[in-house]
Amino acid sequence: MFKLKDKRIAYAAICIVIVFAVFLSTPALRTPFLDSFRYPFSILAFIRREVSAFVFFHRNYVQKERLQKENDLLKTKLELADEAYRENARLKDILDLKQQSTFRMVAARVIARSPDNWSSAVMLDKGKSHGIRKGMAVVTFAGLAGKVTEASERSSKAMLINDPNLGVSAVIKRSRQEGLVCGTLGSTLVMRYLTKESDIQVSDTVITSGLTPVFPKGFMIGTVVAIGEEFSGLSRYALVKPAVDLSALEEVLIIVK
Amino acid sequence: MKKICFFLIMLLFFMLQATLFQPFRVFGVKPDLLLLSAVSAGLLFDLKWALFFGIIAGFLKDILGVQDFAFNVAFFSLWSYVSHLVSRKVHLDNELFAAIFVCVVAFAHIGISRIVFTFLGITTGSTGVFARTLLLEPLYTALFLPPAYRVFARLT
Repeated sequence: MFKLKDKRIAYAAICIVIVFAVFLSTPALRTPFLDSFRYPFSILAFIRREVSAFVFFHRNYVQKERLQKENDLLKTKLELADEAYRENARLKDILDLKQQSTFRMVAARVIARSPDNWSSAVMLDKGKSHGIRKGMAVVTFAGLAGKVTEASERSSKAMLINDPNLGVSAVIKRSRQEGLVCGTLGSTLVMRYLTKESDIQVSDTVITSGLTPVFPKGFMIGTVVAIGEEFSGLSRYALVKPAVDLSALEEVLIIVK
Repeated sequence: MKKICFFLIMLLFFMLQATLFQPFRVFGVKPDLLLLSAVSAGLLFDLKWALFFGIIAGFLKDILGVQDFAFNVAFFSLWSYVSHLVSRKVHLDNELFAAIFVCVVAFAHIGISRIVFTFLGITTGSTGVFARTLLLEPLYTALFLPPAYRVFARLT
């Protein structure tokens, strides 16, 4: 069944597998390959966007009408919030409090996604040359989206918050109850390590606590949709619907400073 | 020329899987076109090229994955090798048999990857997600075999 020639080929294949294993484990060797796929991925992402815009024209039109109304409402609210912000700033000045520093962000486009079903990651079209480094937080206007796990010269890879390997320290905005939010690869996240007495309700807002150094404090993670008890019976968990639509992520912001 | 065509189709599959296939997820599961390529290489080419394409398919999958080691490089080349051995023993010209074979390979690949990842401390989601993937991904991947295999067979 196994001829001598076949054996040699199999040995050669094993050697190649080892070489590739070393190659893939070394970011300096791996990242140029990520870069080389940047343009083909950008083109395909563009095609996908244009095709879906054409196919879902009517849905987009209805959505636009709804958003227009929402926009008007939000503009009014923003005016009020702006007034409150100014008042807050004045009061802070009076109290001589140090003003919260603003973040410097870089906008990036999602050009590809992880090809397997075991992880949730995206490839972005910005890299080290744009100031992006490994470990930086990835957000959208809606809230936290993930963190950069790999950065090459002109592209980078980000792990999304619904990946089970990413844990974010979080708090319930209302009750300041702390927990750890992890991904499930599904449409919800799970907030663990909540004590049995924890004050948590459905529709509570979950935000970053700032305890994980990568993620700045106060970023919206999502809203609680269900609460359950852990199998051990010692603690509770909450299912959190992410604020960001992770399956339709197209543009993100990376906090570079 | 045959090999170049196969390689280009494999690259196309890789890019499709990483971009355009996102909206076609069924219960969060998408087909593994690269595994399909690796198995097809085993069925269509001699051992040397089957292993070569298996390694390349695994490499392409690993490069966009989150794990830092060549899991797919190792296992895709193994599946190419197994496909090649099977094609020598059993005639897989019938698309249905080939689809069943792909289904079995995908099932084994998912099962093994879960075990290896768990062993290495890489979290791969809940048991529910695993069960869903284990049941759906092989079927979804096998569903793509007839058209993909026809394209491969015609162009190569």
